[in-house]
Amino acid sequence: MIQIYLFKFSLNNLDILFIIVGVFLNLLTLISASVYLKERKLLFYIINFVYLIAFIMLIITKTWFVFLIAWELVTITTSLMLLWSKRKLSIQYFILQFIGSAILIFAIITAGKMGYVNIGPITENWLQNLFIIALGMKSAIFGLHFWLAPVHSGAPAPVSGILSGWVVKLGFITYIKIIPEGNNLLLFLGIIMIIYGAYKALQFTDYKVILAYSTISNLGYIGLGIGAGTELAILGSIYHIIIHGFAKTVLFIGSAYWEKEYNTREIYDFKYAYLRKPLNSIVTAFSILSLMGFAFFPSYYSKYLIKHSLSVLPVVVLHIASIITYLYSIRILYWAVVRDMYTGLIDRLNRKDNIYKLKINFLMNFRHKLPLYAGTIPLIIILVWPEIIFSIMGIANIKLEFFGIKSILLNTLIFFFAIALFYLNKGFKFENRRDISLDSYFIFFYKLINKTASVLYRLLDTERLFDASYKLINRMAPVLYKLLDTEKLFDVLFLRFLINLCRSLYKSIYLSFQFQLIWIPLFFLFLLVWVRLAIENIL
Amino acid sequence: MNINLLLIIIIPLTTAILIPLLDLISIKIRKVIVFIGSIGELLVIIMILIENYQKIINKNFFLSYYLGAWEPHLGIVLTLDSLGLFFSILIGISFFLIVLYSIGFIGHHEGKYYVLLFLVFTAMQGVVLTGDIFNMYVFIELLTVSTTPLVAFLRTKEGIEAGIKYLVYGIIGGLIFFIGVILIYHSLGTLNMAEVAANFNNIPLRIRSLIVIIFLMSLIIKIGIFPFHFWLAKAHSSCPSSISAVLSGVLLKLYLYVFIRLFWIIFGFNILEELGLNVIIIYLGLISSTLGHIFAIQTEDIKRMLAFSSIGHIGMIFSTLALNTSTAFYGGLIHIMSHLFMKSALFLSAGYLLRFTKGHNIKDLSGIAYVHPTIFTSFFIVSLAMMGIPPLNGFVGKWYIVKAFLEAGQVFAVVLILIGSLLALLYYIRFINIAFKNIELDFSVKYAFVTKPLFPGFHREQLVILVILVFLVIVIFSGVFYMYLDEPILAAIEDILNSHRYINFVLGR
Repeated sequence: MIQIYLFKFSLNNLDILFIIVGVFLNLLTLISASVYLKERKLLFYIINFVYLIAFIMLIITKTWFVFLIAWELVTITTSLMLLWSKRKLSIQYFILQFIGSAILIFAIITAGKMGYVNIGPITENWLQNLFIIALGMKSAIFGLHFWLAPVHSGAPAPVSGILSGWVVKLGFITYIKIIPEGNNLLLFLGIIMIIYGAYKALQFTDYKVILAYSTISNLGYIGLGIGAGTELAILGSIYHIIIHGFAKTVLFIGSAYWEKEYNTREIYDFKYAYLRKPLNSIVTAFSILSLMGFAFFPSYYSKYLIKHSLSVLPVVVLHIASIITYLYSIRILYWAVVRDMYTGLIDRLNRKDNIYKLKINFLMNFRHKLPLYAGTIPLIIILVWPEIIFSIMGIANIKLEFFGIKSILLNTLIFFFAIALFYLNKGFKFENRRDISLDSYFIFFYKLINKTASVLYRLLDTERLFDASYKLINRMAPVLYKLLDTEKLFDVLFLRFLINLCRSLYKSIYLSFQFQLIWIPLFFLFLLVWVRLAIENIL
Repeated sequence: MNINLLLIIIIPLTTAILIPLLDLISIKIRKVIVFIGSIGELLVIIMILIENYQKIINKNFFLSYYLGAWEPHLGIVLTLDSLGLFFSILIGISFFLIVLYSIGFIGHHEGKYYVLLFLVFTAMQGVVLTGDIFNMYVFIELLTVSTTPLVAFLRTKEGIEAGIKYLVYGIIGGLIFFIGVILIYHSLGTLNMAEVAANFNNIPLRIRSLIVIIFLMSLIIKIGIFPFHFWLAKAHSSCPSSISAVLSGVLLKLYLYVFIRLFWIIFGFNILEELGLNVIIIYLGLISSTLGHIFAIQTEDIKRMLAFSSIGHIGMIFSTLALNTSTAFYGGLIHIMSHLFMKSALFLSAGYLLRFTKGHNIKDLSGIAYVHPTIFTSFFIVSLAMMGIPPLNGFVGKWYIVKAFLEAGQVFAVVLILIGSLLALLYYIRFINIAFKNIELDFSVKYAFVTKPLFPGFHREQLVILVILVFLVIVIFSGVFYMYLDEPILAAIEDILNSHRYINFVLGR
């Protein structure tokens, strides 16, 4: 454990493993980039170095604050690296990740209010869910995944490798840290992602887009493992992170060579692939087999670990999902690699002029091939010695002793079922060349905002409101005035009434002058009588 | 023996006689003579007040003057106690101010006017000062005779009708008074008030009760209480405003003085209680008060409205006095004073404003507030005082009157008084509201008032305005600083409640 002043950093075996894998994958992409990129390579290396430091910091930090800074750095550096393809894509990616950062800041502040100062296990379920959503934009959780396929397919091949192989994993690494005992939301989302990614991958013809959707599907497996929450399931997730990292990086680096060879990314156009790029096709086939979880291949272990810790229903669902996984994997394998293998060989043997022979610059060739070799070797090591990852992590007591014949048979059965389906559907050859980009989403959001703004404007148009209320008041005022004309009411009902009453009283009391004078003797008499009565004590 | 008492009567009398003689020499001297006469009168009274102020505070103030040095039993004696002085001062001040107003206000037949006005004030002072009951009758007749031409002074149809009515009522009232005097002389063989007071209980009860009834009748007619109020409104509204102020402001109070003098000091209040007449006085006064306010609402004529309002207030004071407590007298005397100033101010300002209108009707008054805002403001403030708005004059009197009624347990009377105040608010606001309407002002109207200069730099109109403002100031100050008037009023109350003191003083016992 290394502690640095002020910001707590810590290292354990898992972090070290992740750092090793991350740095290794980054090296592969750097070598690939040195071949792939044509200009401003030094700038790319510098940005990549910053990215390297940022993700290391992100993995080893213990405080949310440094975590946030590190992730912002990762976002900025990756979006800068995207500039080598299209500026628009970079900006779109940055905007989306920025929105994700906003949610993340909110979640972190909430966690801080709840008392979680350091990065560590979170007990509240709702806070876990909040973090799942907050990190969802970064890690392409289902629902916030829409940016992944356009960005990963549109990026330069090495950057695609970085993004798909490692950057999306950083969120899941954080999930491992904060969700120690499982989360139903993540589990549910994981299953959906598996099926959704595989289904989408089956529909597209663009090689990189298929790889991108495959990434979503595989991320689903990782999330499922973390969501299940048992020790074995989490180990399976870690296993899958590493395997997927290697395999997907290799595949994306290889995609660059395919693109260069055929000037297209449609998998139907990859003719005589085995002959033209033998190493690349072997590596691609191996990586795809590794990812699809065919028996004894690395992914089989991780998926088995995850399935092992689940209840019956999710397992059944997973088996059905693995049919689709197999289908899209077989589709890539068939169309990209296997299709022309036999006819190509015959063709080559028959022809005297070897049109497929390539002139080879040795150094160039080495730089071409090194990442492919270097990426495949770990997969082969895992194939041979599956427990190596556990021994690096220092968990020696777990041994993968569950290569039960039943599981292998089931797996193989499903594989052949998928092949049968693939054959019956004639290779799933869709003519689906639709352009995927984030533009449609942005246009949609733009229109939505525009429409809401216009609606809001219409609602809150103060001038019109004022106008309408003014008219209303104008119309109401005379009516109200008539109703509440107190002066008139007072005048008519009270004062006029009172005056008339007083007048009638006055008239009733008024007497003509002759009769007025009669009052004097009358009153005099009255007083006399009164006094008389008073004296006699009658009163 | 104090010659000043004689001067109080002699000064206005001689002025009244001198005016027609001096008119033969020059008309212009008249105003000077009038001014000198009125201010001389006021100065004499103030001199008496200042000389005897310590005595007033000590409550043993009494002055007397034997006319022709004849002793009381044979001759006429002039007396002045605290009660008399209170009324005498009020009459003096209002006399001076009304004469000043008249100098500015009356533009025709001024010679006759001043003679009659001075005779009225002579009679008033005589009624206050005299110690002889027949002499009092003479002065009352003089009042009636000299006010009647003043009521009909404008020579209009209503004026003459009102004058005739006033004369008939006044003569009948005086006649009844005279019968009472005859009865007293027949019974006791003396007309001196102190001797009458000393020996009044020796008269047989039947004759005594008859005397009391006769004097009560006479005074009810003179004051204008309910069954005999018919003459009052017409008489007070159809004369010039200055005469209205004299009649409504001063003359009614003088009859109230006579009422107090007769029924407390000469007859004694016991006889009223014995005959059960105090109840009749109270309820008669209250009915009169309520009816006065009700009549004031229905009228369309501003001066009639003020006259009816006078009926209301005088009735209230009349009934309050019959409660026979010191609080009641305090409230009554304060309200006599404040009503004198308020009503005079209202009549005088209304008279000024009515110079700019076609008639006295409420419709003619629209926009009158813009003709002379200062005068209208004073009218407004004084009408607020009439309603009984606290810092002003009318509130204090009403407060003590209500307090006296509450002490006597007459809650019904309090309710009536408060209803009267509310009605007062209504009828004053009605006129004020009209006065603010219709701002279309004909500017030729603004110069309708006769503005000949009295002397260089001082116009008649300015004198009128000055007098109104002086009344306004008196109204405001006597409301705010009423506590400084405590001493003379308390001394007057002391005189009222201890009637034997008057007898002792006059008869020298």
